[in-house]
Amino acid sequence: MADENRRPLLEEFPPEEILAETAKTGLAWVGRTILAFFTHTGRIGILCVRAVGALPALRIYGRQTADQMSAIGVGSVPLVVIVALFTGAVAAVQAAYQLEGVVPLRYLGGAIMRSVFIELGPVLTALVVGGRVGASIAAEIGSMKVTEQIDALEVLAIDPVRYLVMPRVVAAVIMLPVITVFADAVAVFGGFVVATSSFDQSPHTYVQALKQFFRFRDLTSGLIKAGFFGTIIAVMGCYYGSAAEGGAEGVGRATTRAVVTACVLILVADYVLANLFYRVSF
Amino acid sequence: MGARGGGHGGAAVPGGGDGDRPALVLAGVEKRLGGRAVLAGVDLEVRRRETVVVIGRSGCGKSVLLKHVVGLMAPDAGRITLLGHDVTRFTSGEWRQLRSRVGMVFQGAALFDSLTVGENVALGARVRRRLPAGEESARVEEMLAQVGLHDIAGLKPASLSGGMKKRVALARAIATEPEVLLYDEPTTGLDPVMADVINRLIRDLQRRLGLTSVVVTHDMASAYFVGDRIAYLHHGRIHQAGTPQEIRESADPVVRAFVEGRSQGVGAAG
Repeated sequence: MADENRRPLLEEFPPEEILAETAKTGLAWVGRTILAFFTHTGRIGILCVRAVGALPALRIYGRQTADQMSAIGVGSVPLVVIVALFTGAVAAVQAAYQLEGVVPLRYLGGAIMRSVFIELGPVLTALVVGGRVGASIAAEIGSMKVTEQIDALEVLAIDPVRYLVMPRVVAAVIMLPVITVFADAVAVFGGFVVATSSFDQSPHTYVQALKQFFRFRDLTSGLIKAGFFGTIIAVMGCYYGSAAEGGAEGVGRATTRAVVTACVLILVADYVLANLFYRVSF
Repeated sequence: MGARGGGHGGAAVPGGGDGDRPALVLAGVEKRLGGRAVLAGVDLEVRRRETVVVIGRSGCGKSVLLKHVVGLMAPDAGRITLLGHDVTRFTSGEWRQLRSRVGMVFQGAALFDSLTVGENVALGARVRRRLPAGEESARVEEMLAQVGLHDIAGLKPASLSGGMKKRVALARAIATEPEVLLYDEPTTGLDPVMADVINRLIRDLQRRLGLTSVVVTHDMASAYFVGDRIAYLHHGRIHQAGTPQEIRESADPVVRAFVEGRSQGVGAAG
């Protein structure tokens, strides 16, 4: 009796059957992955459209938006200062090393400034703020979801997209460029400290190089990128937070996904926007 | 008053009353979740100003049933009529209009923990711009007084006890002046004294405000106390419905096992 009910061993199957089953399982996995990708992309797209559609409600939810601006912007300042200061300092050391023998060292300030304005400032700020703010948005909305607070909003006839998502997206889109300007300034100062202390450069030479190489376009392109990064951070936090299921574990999973996805998308968007702004490979 | 058929399968419709249209009708409502039929043809009718208690074992679909009534879930099949509107295929915009007439008290209270108690109570009315700014705090105090709470408007929900949270949730639900109020396990997790306080509140509010109420619970003391009628949800259907007296004296072995709290006779997959 026991023999009739036992599961057959793998060796007992004909090889072609094992191969067919493996292929089927692999194919199913590929199918599921592709389907999941398009499902997420579609839902994120819908969330973005609904958030834009909720913009007229800004006058009702002005206070929520201001609170979020404070949390995203002011709250991120200490972290951004540390990151930007060291980014500028490292940029100075690296630029000095790379320029040595190629370009006179008096242009150091310009090299630091341009790399910071175009790339390092917006991207590193977005990654740092993305970790901090993306996680906090996903955890807050995820906790609200699993404790039925989102349902409670719906029952009170309050659209969660207008009340929760739109203020966060607007706040992030506004505050990311603001923090980036701040980070740019701190990073250039970090470079200044290293240039004057380690490379015996006079403050005047450093500032002259800044003036000589300043392009308004470098600054604006970096800030436009920061706006896009802000959108990515807030939308990912809101999307994965609102998709959280299954208590504390689900909230933790949602938070991780929000941060990881936001960071990857920031880098992808950075590449796409770099092409748009500078036509490097288009 | 009486259960139609007094037995299996059907929803009860109380006789008498003022003969007006029912506030809520569920007809053959079905819902599958994760491959399992949670609701398998629920028929239930709730008249205006009536309190119907839906009882059943944990996981039998009581909360899912309530979520269908308030549009947080849509049925796979069947029809739901709420306050004269067929809401089965309502869009979210249509729901938002009708929800101003419906309130719900959630199992875990679901208070917004980033807001104070007062802001929680005022939120629904504030967003709909029903309250002039000056009247808001007076209105909040009035609502909190209705549920027996005073001077807590400035506190955060995290500092409240379970019973207080439930009462604040109740105050928040009645602040929007609903016609239909739904309660999801209102006494679960409370000590017997606090459970009695909540039960009396439900009864009291129903009488004072003329609310139509649907209460989902597995607390039989609560069900007997607050219900005009009790419906027993079993295997995704209303197994029996009737007055508290009829349920208490039911000859049905499944219902008897549940109300008497016996593990034998309820059915393994209940």
